[in-house]
Amino acid sequence: MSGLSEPQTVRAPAEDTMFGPALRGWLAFMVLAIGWSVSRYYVGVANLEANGNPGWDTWLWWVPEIMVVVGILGLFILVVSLEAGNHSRIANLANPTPFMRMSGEILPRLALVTALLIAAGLAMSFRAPPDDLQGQAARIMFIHVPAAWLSMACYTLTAISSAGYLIWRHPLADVSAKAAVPIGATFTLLALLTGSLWGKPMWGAYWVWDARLTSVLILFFLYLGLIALRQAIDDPGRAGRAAAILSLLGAVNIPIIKFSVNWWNTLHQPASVIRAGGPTIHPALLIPLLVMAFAFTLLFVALHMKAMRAEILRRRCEAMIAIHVRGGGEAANV
Amino acid sequence: MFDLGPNAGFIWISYGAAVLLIGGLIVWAWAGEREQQQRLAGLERRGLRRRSSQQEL
Repeated sequence: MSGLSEPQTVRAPAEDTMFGPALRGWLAFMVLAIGWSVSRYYVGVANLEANGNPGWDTWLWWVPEIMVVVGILGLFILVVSLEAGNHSRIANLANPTPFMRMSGEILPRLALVTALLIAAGLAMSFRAPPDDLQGQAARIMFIHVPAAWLSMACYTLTAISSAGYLIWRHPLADVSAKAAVPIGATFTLLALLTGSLWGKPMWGAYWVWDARLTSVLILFFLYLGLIALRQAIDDPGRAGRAAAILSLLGAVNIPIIKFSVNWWNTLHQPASVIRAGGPTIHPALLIPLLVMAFAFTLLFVALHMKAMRAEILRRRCEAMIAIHVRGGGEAANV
Repeated sequence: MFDLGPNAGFIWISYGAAVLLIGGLIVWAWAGEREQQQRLAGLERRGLRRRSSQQEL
């Protein structure tokens, strides 16, 4: 690349040294917290099986899980504080070039921690004791519930990004909305599939048209509609605006999904983790579920970042071709 | 390996579906960026430049 006289080429190494040690420290902290959490869980289940007293009824037991949560929040605080230090305004984070640099540094570490957390979640899921009523089939919950949470969280992010694009016309908001949709569609499909496979042994049917299942199926069709809409319109600006409007209209489905089990008489069980009065799941099953939920959340963040990077690069290519076409030359061969 | 009882088939298919779908997402995301990076490098080799390339190296 050209430009030895450009000041930014001098600044980049200094930024690398700011991010590097902090991210290495974060990685070490997360490895410690995840390893401690898994080993403590194995000890707890062994105690539960041996003498019925796992020891997780005191808050001290939950220290490693609290460390995992603090670590995840800490990553975002770290990124915002370092970026805010590098640039005069936090709003700079929402520009493609700082985003590409920041995500390029974070992604390898985030991918490693995500892989560790998924491995830890799986190790806990298969060590968890069977549920009193549902037996071994309750293990499907460790996949189904995080996928279902993410299907809604992903749509919420799509709707917020769409609002950002419609209000401020910020291109990165459109990139975020577009990148989130295929990921959300996949998590929704996974929630529907695993829910169906869980429903057959528990309810005696793969599918029932109750409010929760139907509203999640509508969510899946909304995701497919958003993908189809973007592909049906050639002009990227018009496609982005149309998809943003549709995603905002579809956002009404999110509270319907969440509260469908309270508003209607459904076969699907009511909320048992995020509810007033606290979770109703035994800690032996709740701990693996929360670890899997955090793992899936980090996986979503990593996948979304990666998909956004691909979309930014694709738009850069399109912009280069457009400039070349306007200037004449060999555009037809590009 | 694990005695998952009479519903073992449902459990293994659920985890298998998760591996397939999430594995597919990971391949899609990583291959997507790689493809665009190669496309961008190809355009730059042909002498095409971005409007902002002079401010942003």
